[in-house]
Amino acid sequence: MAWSSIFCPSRWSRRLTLFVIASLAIVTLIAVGIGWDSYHLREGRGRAALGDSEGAVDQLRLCMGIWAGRFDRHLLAAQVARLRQDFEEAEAELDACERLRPQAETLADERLALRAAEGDVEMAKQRAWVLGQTHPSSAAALLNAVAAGYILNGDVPQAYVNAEEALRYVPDHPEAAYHRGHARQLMGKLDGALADYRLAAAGLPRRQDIRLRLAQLLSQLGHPLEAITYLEELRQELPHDPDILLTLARLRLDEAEADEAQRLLQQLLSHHRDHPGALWELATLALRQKQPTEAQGYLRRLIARVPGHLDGHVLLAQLASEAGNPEEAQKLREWIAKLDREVIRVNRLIDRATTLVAGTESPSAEPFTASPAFASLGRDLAVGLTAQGRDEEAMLWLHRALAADPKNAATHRLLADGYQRLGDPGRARWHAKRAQAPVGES
Amino acid sequence: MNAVCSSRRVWWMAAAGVVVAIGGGALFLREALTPPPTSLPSTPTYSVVEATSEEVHEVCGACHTYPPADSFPRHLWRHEVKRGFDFLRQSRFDIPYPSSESVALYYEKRAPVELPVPEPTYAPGPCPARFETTSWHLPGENKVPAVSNVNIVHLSDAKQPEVLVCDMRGNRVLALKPNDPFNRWRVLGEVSYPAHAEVVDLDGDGIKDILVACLGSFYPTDDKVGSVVWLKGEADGTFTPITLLDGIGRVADVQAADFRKCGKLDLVVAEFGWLKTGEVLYLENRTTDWSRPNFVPRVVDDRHGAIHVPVGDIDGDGNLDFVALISQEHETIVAFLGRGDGTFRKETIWAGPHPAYGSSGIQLVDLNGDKKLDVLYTNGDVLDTSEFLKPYQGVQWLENRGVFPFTHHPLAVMPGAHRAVAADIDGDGDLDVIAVSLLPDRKGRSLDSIILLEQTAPGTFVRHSLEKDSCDHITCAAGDLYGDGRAHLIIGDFVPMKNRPLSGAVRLWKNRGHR
Repeated sequence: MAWSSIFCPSRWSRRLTLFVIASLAIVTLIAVGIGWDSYHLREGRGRAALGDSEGAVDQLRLCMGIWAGRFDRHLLAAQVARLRQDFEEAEAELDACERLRPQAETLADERLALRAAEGDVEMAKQRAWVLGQTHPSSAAALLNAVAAGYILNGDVPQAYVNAEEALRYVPDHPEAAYHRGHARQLMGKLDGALADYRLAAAGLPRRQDIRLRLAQLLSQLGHPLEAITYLEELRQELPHDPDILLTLARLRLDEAEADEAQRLLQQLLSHHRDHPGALWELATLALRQKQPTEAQGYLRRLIARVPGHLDGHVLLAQLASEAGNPEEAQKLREWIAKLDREVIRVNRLIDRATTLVAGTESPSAEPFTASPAFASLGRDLAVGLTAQGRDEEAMLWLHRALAADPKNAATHRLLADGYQRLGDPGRARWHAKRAQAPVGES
Repeated sequence: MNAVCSSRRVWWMAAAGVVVAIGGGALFLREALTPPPTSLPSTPTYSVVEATSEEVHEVCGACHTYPPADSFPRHLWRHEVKRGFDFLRQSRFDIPYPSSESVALYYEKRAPVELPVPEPTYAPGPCPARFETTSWHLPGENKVPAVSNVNIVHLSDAKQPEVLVCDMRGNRVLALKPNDPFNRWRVLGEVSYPAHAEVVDLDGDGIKDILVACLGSFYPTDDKVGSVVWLKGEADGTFTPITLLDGIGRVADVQAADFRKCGKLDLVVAEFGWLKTGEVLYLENRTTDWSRPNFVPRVVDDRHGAIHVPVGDIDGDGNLDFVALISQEHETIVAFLGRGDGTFRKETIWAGPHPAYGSSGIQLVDLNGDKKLDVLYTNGDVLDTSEFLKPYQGVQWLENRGVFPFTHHPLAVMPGAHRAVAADIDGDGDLDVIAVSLLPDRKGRSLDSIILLEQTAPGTFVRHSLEKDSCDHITCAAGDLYGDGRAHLIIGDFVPMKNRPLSGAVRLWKNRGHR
């Protein structure tokens, strides 16, 4: 048989030919699939490295999960979950990675990044320093996680330093710009923060959290029209988001559009019944519109929802007195006296803790902020602040407490409650799980 | 053969077709499934016209005087307008108001791009006095200084003055005898964030006491944490703290005087507060048994932001008066003219031109020697807005010509001017002025931190720079510390942040006499 005849299909049976073609097609399909997955995983990793969680999710959705790419797929999913601060999901994805390739260096790095984003930053900082020599973009991604962790712990200057370092490795890195902007905002450097947020929003246009922060800062700096434009667009995407609706309503009030503001606030209440911010704004608006009865209604709902709301009680007492209801006014005043004392107690604790954090107390001594005693102070503060409806401040102090004593079950439990209240069930579950971990109270 | 080859070609083509279809499909799917990136909104969706002057006057005037456009540089106006509207939104004013954007446009159109600080003009000759400087650390741990007040007083020895210091960081009042070779500080009392201390014999037992105005909080707050504490002097030289008033906003100053000519010292209290709390209070002394002091408070002015309430006979009628410096958005100096019975008639001595003037302190002193008490006034508070150096900050002399308001004389431009005191520094028989500045952010400029305004003729002053760049001085006092007839200076430092080299909290500028 001549060689040429072997390649002549006329010698083959039709069935064999079909088999060859089908095999070819399958091999081609697999090759294309692998290529497809590699392409999208690469794209996804690139986007995740820039902080573009939404872009990375799109790429992840397009991956087909072909066996060869399973590890990378889980790794990318973990990165995305970390960026979305869904630490529980990120942990699960990393566990899946570990089952496939336990020794992988990329897995170890992502674990460090996750720990850093949760607030445990030291190892990640060291690794970033090593990576910085050879892989600046990987170092930048790790430093971003470190910056996010520092923000979570309330160590704003360190967050700034690490975001700045990430920007040194990758100039104009949008995620790093976002973290630097956040740190600047917390340090009161608002103009710099605005420039950073703009840079971040331009690089990551689909990140709603960045656009919301940008809009809120624009509002704070007195650029209502631009802020409204962002917020209206965000409202289309997230029509029931309380932060968007409340910020927008306040802006509409400043723009002398009371009717529209009222509509937005009612809309907010229809989805988040007894939202304290909405109730307060509606009460003060009703007062300005000479509707004290309506104002009292809103204030009663407000103090029922937040019994430690001092301003709400003070205004209600004033209105009760003006309405000729001295008994109610007197009862409220007695309660206000108690609240005053509690507010003073909590604010004194804040002063004390702030002084400790700023290090002005004793610059040469061992940092007290790394001790369980500081964690206990942070928890006390958080409980007091929560009772006054100051949820965001409470969460900040809880994260500081966690940084001081990372395995404390009581802190995790309070964080779980806090996130549940703030409508973040993922993080609530994550902390609840840690609260039940066998390490127990430290 | 042809049929076979044709069949072979068909199969090859089919296979190629499959590959192309898969590849093409993949590319198609990739393009189809990848969502287009969201673009950022470029321009606001609607526009607003500038507010009218009447509208702006009306909306600003609801709370305070109309701020002229040149009180801030252009780029800061939006933030200021936003702050104003935040207050408005929380208020009960039911006035019709223009949109915040239209007000911002109004100011942006009229405000200067920058507010340059003029270079000071100095006296041609050298400073008329020589000084030797010493820095004193407060006892205890190595803390960042936060002195709020210094005073030169006579506590136990009528001949030997002492330096009295309020230490905000350490929550204590301390004293030092400047002649002590070991510089030993005595802690006289522990109180909550003391802002001001005055020596007085409150109970008339012949032993000097100390009245302390306590802020009660390091940070601005409306919490009712302020108090007035009486450090009652004991025969053994110690002091017992007794709270005379608490449960009020932050207290910045307290002064005692026999306003009713009854032999009892009443108190006037500057309850600074913050945004919602704060008043000027008169505390009538109804004490009959000093083991249970009884002071009955009465509000004499319900405005917040009172900083100082010095006492003197302003109108020369023989009855004691007091003067209140009321800052915040009011920026007003008010005379409370005593009728001799514990009641007062109010007269405005002077009102600052706008709510961002930054009042920081007053002293009652006959500056030009005409036997009438004038007001030496500083406006240099930058703890609210430190974004730019304010050319309208400095030292002012409000001359008492026997009528209200007093006659205003700007003496020196000095951004951050926090305290000015009058003393005869050059020993020529008239009063000169010493002023110090607190500027946490110097904007990279080399600025005067201590100046001497030498009075060369009645009411005529020339400027000397005693020190530059160390603008950490929040307070100062001048007096004869060593019995040598010269006015020496005591300066207190306040460093808000720890990222500076630690220096002594209190500085002595010992006057070595004429050059």
